[in-house]
Amino acid sequence: MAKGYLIFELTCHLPFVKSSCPGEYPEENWLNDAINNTYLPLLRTLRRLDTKSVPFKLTFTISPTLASMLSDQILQERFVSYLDSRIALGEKEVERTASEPDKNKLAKMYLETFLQNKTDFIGLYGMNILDGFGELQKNGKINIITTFATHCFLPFFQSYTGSVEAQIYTAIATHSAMFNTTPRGFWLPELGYRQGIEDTLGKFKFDYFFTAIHAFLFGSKVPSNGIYAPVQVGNSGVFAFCRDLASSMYVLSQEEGYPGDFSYREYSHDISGELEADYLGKDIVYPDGSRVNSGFKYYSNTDRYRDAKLVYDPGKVDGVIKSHAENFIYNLKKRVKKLLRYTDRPPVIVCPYDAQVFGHWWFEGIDWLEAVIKELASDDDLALIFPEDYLAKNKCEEKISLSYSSYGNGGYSGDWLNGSNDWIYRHIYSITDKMTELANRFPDEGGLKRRALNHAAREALLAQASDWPFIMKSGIASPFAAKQVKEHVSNFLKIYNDLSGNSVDTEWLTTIERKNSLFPDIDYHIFKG
Amino acid sequence: MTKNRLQSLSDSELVSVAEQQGIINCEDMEREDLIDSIIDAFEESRLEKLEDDNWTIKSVCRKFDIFQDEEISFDKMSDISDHFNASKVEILLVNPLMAFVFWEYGDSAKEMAQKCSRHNHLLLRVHEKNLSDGKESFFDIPVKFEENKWYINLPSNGCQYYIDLVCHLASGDKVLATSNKIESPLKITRDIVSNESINRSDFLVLAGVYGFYDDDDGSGDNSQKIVSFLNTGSIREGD
Repeated sequence: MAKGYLIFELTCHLPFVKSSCPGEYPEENWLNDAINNTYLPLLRTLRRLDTKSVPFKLTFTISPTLASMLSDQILQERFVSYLDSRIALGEKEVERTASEPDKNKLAKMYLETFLQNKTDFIGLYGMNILDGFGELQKNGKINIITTFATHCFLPFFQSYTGSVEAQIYTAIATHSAMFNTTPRGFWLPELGYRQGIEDTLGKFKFDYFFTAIHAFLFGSKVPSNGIYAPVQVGNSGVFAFCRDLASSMYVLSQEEGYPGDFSYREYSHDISGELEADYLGKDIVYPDGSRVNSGFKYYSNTDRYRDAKLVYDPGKVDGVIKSHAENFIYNLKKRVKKLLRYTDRPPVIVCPYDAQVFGHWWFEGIDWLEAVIKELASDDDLALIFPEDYLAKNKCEEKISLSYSSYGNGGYSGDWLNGSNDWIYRHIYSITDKMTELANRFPDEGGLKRRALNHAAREALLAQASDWPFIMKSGIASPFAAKQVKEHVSNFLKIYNDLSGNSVDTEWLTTIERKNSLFPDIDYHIFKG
Repeated sequence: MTKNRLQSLSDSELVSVAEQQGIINCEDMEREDLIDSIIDAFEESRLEKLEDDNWTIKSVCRKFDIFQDEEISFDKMSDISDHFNASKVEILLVNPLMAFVFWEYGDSAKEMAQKCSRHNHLLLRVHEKNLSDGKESFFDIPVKFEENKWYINLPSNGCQYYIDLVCHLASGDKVLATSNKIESPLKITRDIVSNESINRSDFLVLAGVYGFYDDDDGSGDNSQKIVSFLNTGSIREGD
């Protein structure tokens, strides 16, 4: 039996973005980049490990909005176009860099990856990579959990009980439709916790969720095992696992963590910022001048500390990846050894990461994860575990009340509520109230009115996504984020006003249903509360 | 830099430090005011640094990379048409020290609110209830009719707050709307305050921050607010 356990939780989430016509929003590339840089390479690695019978247990949160986009036929076709444009650019890059052997080698490597991704996406997964995740889950290698339907920041919606339940109900329905399983774990977006959610999660038969450290430490009492064992939250019967801070630093910090190593590839320098628009093409440079990542990045992490950037050499990183994987495990084992003096059971170290850290930002991250899994496969002291398995193996009877918390700056709500984004909440709450009013005013509608009401419910949920205020605060793509909120609120209000006048604009409704086409089986009654 | 250290500096050295911190008109300031301004500036830059140090937030930001020049203006946002038919006030917690309040007037309350505002009698009444001893109190913030949001300081931790939007009339107070309730979280661990048996080093190990804050300078992922209670002095030093 292991002396300590490790829970790897990888959050896969993006907000729902789908334009009416291809090439309208550069932001659609968020999804394409995620599939290309993270999900396909990660699935390739995990399938390889599975085929070789290397044991591993990873927990994945796949958000309902991401799952909806990954299974959307139009977005799947647009991903193939994305790959085609990158393959065409790759062929040009191989020619352009012919006189620079180091860069040429990289151009060929990227081109091969795009080609491999296209083969996997179409040939292996039939354009729906959720099947890849589903298969790994069936094989017992990964465990897929869910989160709020549109990734709302819970602390701001706690007093809107009906809306929170609508978010959870829709999340479970989407998850069940996509994976044919019922999720047992729940990811609180941004680890935003406020007292009371445990009772709601219990009502929906969830067993556990995750929190930030101060949820545990500033709660009703310090748990006897600190943050290294789950606790029962109040009398809800639902358990909370707490994230570990140090393991975040190793993986997420550019300055102190592994990804900043000189030999690793640098994320920020992409040829899309350096070459002419005509050469890059309209899939990289949009009509409004916005540029998106091309995926062709030639330098290593050197420019921050040296005058000249060095070209990235993938041949030099294998040893570094291995040593970083060994260092990660060494540090965790050292911690487990120390913790065993304090805890009454094998401690569990919870490492939640945004999945896109691996491959997208930290190019070598997936290889690092593979190296960690392989090292752990032959380690007697530390083992990967699913949260439910830890709960089954260890009685966790200690009950505490948790404290309001998130992983945001300052540990609370400032990233989602500040001068850049506070204007949205009065509108979002207003339509949330109005949605409840509609659900009660139209208790049993059918036909066209029902379609309109169901779509109103979709728009109300979409407006609540935490991503939009976050993006407004960060300053990246904030006009787009504002536009999205405005669009969802306006769409909702049009339906509300139409229904108040006893009419439905069928043509408009059909257009908007095609655009915001997620949650096909949504039932507006979920807002009744 | 501590207050003692600043007090040991000469006037010209203080001015130099103040200039480095971007304090304007520092040459005309009284010595004590200058020292206070420098301490405030250091605190401000420390907090900015903490914000920049959140690895998790940075990692999420990288998913949304788009290179754009367009700037957003409030005109673009304000054209969402909606009619808020009822008076309403809502309070949201930003952090243990601050909350965001916004409000709307229903048609019937508008005229009264406008009239009260002219006489500075339109108020946000902030109710505070201490959750340990049950004591209740309130304070008022005068607001103008044209305003519809405020960020307010929360004076105490571990308290429940709610807001009344009030017209203060000669005939008595008229409450136009009452908000939801929020609680300001504690910034320290209850056990650390009350339980002498937990010492600092045990606590750091169990909190997973052992070795993180040796110099207590706030380096690292301070989103988790661990430093705040290490600096309270409430924790008994470990052996």
